[in-house]
Amino acid sequence: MFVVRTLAASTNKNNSYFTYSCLSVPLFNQKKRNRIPLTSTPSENEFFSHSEYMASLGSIFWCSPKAPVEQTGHPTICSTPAAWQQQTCSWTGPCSESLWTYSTSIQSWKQKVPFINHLTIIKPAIENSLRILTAVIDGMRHWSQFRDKVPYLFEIFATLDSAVTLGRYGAKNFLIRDGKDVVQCVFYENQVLPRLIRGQVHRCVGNYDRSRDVLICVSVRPGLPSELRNAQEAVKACDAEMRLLVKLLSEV
Amino acid sequence: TYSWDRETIQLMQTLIPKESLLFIADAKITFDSFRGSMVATVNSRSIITVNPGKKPQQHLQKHNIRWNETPEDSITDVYTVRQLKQKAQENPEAFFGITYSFISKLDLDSSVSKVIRTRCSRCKFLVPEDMSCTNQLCPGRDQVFSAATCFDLLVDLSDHTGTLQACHLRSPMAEKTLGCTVKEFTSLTDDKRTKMKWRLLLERCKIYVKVVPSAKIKTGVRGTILACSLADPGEVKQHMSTVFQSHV
Repeated sequence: MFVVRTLAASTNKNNSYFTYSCLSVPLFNQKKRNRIPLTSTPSENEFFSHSEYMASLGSIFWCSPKAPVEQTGHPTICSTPAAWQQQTCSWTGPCSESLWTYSTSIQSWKQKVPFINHLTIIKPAIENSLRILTAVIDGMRHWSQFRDKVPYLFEIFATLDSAVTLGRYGAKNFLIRDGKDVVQCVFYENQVLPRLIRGQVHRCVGNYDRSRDVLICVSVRPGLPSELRNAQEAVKACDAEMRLLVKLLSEV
Repeated sequence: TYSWDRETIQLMQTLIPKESLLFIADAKITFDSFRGSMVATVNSRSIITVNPGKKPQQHLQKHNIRWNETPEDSITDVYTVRQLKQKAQENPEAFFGITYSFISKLDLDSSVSKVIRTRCSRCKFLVPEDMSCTNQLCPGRDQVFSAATCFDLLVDLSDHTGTLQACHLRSPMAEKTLGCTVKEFTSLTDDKRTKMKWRLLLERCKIYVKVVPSAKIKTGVRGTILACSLADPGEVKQHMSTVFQSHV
């Protein structure tokens, strides 16, 4: 999925300037059989066919309604803004350079930076729905640093390493360990906790609170031997997915 | 000449479209010039059996006609949640697949109306409880109203690649998944419903799903669960291994 930035031009009383903003506008050439409406700035949960999308691209220049501009048949395509020939324009947005410059020699606007002749793809939008990751305790601590960007719960298979103690508001506290790593767990009574046996492997699913270094469990039960055999494979696959996700996040 | 057999007509009125299976022996096949095609007509010698037993079904299978086939028989492709969504984007047609995902939403212990709905027996329209069918085109409109209660849940499926929200889990698949009938469910205490919920909630399941791209839904995808059971860890391991390979 891609997020697309479109250019918005607006005028005020003093001088005209381009502001850089994201507008979601209906795009042209929606084929009749297209089930999904195409917009220039799709919301994170929208999906559309890339092949249809790319086939109908043209140069995009979104003009404010006040500026009289030539329009092709499509409301979102404008040719060069003839009405702005007398004004200077500059970017106030993230781009420090103005993209358009008025050339007196040719009496027309010229693109300074060759504008890519299709929608500028700025960044890949990242799948934002809940994920459930199988991880080891160390991995959970590592991946949790991205938790504010993408939501996920963790599934951990680890050995019960303490007695279960009772805390405030019906909270059950205990430690779990895998290898050298230990983490504090807390379980609030939304269901009856099965009897947990110290020294046995259990499966905990929950939300890791990075600031308190606590796994807030919503599901706790003894782990099956067959599950433990599988867990490593799931951890590998989830780690690979997370590496990819982190890479995408860093490119933003 | 057509035989307007009163008994046959009455029989047809009791049948449920897309559900009743008919085995018809000795139907008369003729060319109908009005319709421009071959038509089958029942006469006094025809025998109609409604919902015949296994042998005719095997006969259908032999001729590659699918009927009441269990999903396990024919669906083999395994997908992650992301792959299900991607395929729905690329394809306007419905498709079937298996996913080894966690059930991340299963509101069995909230209001009962989120779990059980009433449908007209004739046309399957949802109806408010104890009222007659509101469907103008219902074939049973002139008859005594008859309704059936059924499971009609919305379930979320999640894995490490994302969540497929609001998948339908309806009767009769729900009965198999939950392990109880509608009647049994309605008589359960809240505690028992909660317990039933946690048997599946946040557990990894093997889910056979039908995915339909849909412009009506925000996510563009609608899933329907055809079968759901706790996943065998050995199978999950296999699947995870494949998923991992695809990253490498």
